[in-house]
This record gives sequence, structure tokens and C-alpha cells, in this order.
Amino acid sequence: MKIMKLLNRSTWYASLMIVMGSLSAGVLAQLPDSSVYHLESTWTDQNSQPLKWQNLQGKNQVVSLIYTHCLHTCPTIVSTMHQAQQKLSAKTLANTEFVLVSLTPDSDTPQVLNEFAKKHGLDTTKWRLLTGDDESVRQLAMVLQFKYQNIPDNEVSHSNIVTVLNRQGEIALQTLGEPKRVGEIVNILEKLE
Amino acid sequence: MFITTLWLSLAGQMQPIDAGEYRPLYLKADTPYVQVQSFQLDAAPVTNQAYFEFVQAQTKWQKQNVPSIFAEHNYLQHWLLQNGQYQPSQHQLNTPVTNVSWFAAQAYCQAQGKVLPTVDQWEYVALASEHQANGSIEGDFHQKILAWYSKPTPTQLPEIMQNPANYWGVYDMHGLVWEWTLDFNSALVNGESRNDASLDAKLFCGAGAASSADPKDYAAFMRFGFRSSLQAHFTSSNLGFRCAAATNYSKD
Repeated sequence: MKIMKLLNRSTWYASLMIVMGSLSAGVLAQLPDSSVYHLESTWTDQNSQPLKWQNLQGKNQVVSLIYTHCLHTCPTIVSTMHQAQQKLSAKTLANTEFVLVSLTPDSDTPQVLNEFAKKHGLDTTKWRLLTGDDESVRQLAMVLQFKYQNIPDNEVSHSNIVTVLNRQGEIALQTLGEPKRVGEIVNILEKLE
Repeated sequence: MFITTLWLSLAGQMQPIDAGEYRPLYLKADTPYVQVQSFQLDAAPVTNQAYFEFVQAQTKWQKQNVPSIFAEHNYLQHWLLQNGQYQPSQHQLNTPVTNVSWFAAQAYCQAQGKVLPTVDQWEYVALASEHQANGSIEGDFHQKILAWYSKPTPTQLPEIMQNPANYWGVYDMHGLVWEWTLDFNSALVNGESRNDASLDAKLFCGAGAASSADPKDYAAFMRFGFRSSLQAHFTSSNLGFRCAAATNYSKD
């Protein structure tokens, strides 16, 4: 009986430690080696709020890099992610969020991103649209193996990839951002915890 | 003695590079030359000694602390564990640091208020011979570079600045190690390495900007090929880096 009590108490302490750990900076130390959330850059969302990637821990994230005045691929990428969102079960949707990162941070201000979200009917309780500095964008692209090149007139030639990150920021899936890949994205999200 | 001191003090120095234009390898025949703004570039590749000072100040970049997403297992593998710390041997101090990932190189430059040079900046400076900004008009320029490319990497890399500087006062652009560039991953030959290589408007915005080629500069082709085989966490025993900065940068 005494042993049980002792055991209970230590279990309780252990869980307290875990809770405290996840609330503090100690979180980083627990990230898997391959987590994208080791990135330390600070971003600004569509509401002008600062954000770090490790703040996104705890939910699965569907991520891509776009720019708002892009006419070719980007609308398709966004639409692919949007369609995936609509096909998720309620339970999975509760554990899933969406992130669009701007490739032209100078012109994609929080206001512009906010407008873009409205125009495309993106639910901003689920979607984050981020803008950062050039170096942070390049670093993120490197982590996601996403290629891009700035070309004249503030246009960017870039890969067309949608990435699914698990709760700890590990890459669970990378696929093309086109409508026929929606099923693939939905499937992996339904499988993830 | 004087020469050694001078040479060591030059190692961390930057050289001003004038604005100009150059013709990148992957460009359509009818697109104009790329304009390069004036900037500054490290006179030599970053040495093991300089990199060691960096990891002592920023311990998260020490070999045992770097997560695999930022550097693969071979990161700094040529350093030895001594007194609980990985460090370069005495004879490695003035040789270029290698076995560093793009993330590590970027962090090093960032720590000094610098950045990695872009592909355009690097190629522009690499175009200079000893006496001319555009060395390619000298008959044997490309031959000399290719001669180095065909040699295997020696086990012990030579020290920096053993050969004459180029037109800009910059050493070792060729002949010592390959170097990381800020946007090495910008060449869109493959949208993404695991997929097919088609380059059409469906896959890329502005795909048309990156096609066609001038095959004359075969050495540049090799660099292009090497760069597109890299991923940012890769490390290699013949891949180092140097940093660039804006013209108004000064170290205080």
C-alpha cells in the first residue's frame, strides 16, 4: 500500500515535470532531432502577431510557401490545402492547422496576407499566413527542401510542394500542391495522432 | 614572421567588389546579363581556427549539440575530441573549414553580421583571373580551373592564401574547396528532388527564366551540377564557405 502511494506520488511528480517542461523553454530540448521546429526565426502572422515555429507544436500542420500576387501555381497550392481541410473528419480537423509562408515578405505585409485570407475564404482560426525576413524564408525553404529563385518584377520561381508536419514538427509527407494530391494529404492527416 | 602575421590578419578581411554584370550559366540566349551590385567578400575561405572560435562562442553549433536537421552526422568529423571538446588539430588551423552544413555556414556568417554570398555574387567574383575582372577572355582560364576539378581532394587540405589573389584581391575561389552559397538551392532543374524534372508553368511560377545554357564554361556547369546535388544539412570534406556583406559593413 505504502509502495503504491509512493509510486503514485512519483508518477504524479513525473507528469508534473512533463507539464512544466512543455510550458517552458525546455520544450526545445525534447524536440526530435529531425524537427523543423529547431528553427529559431521569428515570424509575423496576418494579425501582426509574432510567432516562432515551436509555438506550432501540438497540432499537425499543413505548410506551403507562396506569395499573394502569384498567378500560376500558388492559387492551386492554396486550393489543394483548402480542399484537404474540407475533407478531414471533425476529429482530425480539430488537430490540424494550415500555414502559408510568403516568398515575397517585402510586399506581403500582415495586412496583405489578411486580405488574401479573406479573399480565399480561409478560416483564420485554422490558417496562419506568415511573413518574415529574407534569411528566415531561405532557411525555412532549406529545411523543407523547397527551391525558389527571385526573378524580376517581384516574381518568384519556386517548387510546388505541400508539406505535412506532425505535432512535433517532423516531416510526415511532402507532395505536390495540386488537386489530385488532396486524398494523399487527407490520408496522412487522418493517420497521424 | 611579418609575412605570417600579415597573412593571418588578411584571412578575416573582406575585399570590396565593384558592381558589374555577368552571364550566369542557366539563362536564355535572349535574356540580359545579371547585374551584381557592389558588395564585400571575405578575402579567403573561413578557416578551422575561425570556425572553432565561433563554436566556442555559440555552443549550440558544437558537434555534439547540433540537431540532425541542421547538419548530418559527419559535421566537423575531421576535428578530434580533446579535453571533452571537438577541436581542429594544430596543422588544420589555417586550412579551410569543411564538413560544415549550409545552416552552420549561415549561422557563422550571421554571427558576424554577414551573410553567405549568393550564387550570382560568388560566380561573379569567381570569373576574375589574377589580372582581369573577366578572366574568361584569357585563353587558359577555364583550363586552369578544370585542371583543379580533375584532381582528387587531398587528405590534408592546403592552407588558405597560398596562391595569388584574383583581380579583386580575393583568394582561393578556385583550387582549394567548393563553397556554399546562400541560394544554392535556387536552380529549378528539378522542382523537388524526388519528383520528375519537367519545368512547366504548372509546376513553377516563372519557370521560363531558368532554361537554356551556354556550354562554353564547363567548370561552371560542374559547379551548377554540384550545387543542385546538395541539401542544406549535407556536409562534405571538400565543401567550405566564406561570407559576404553589404558595402557599408565594417567590423568594429
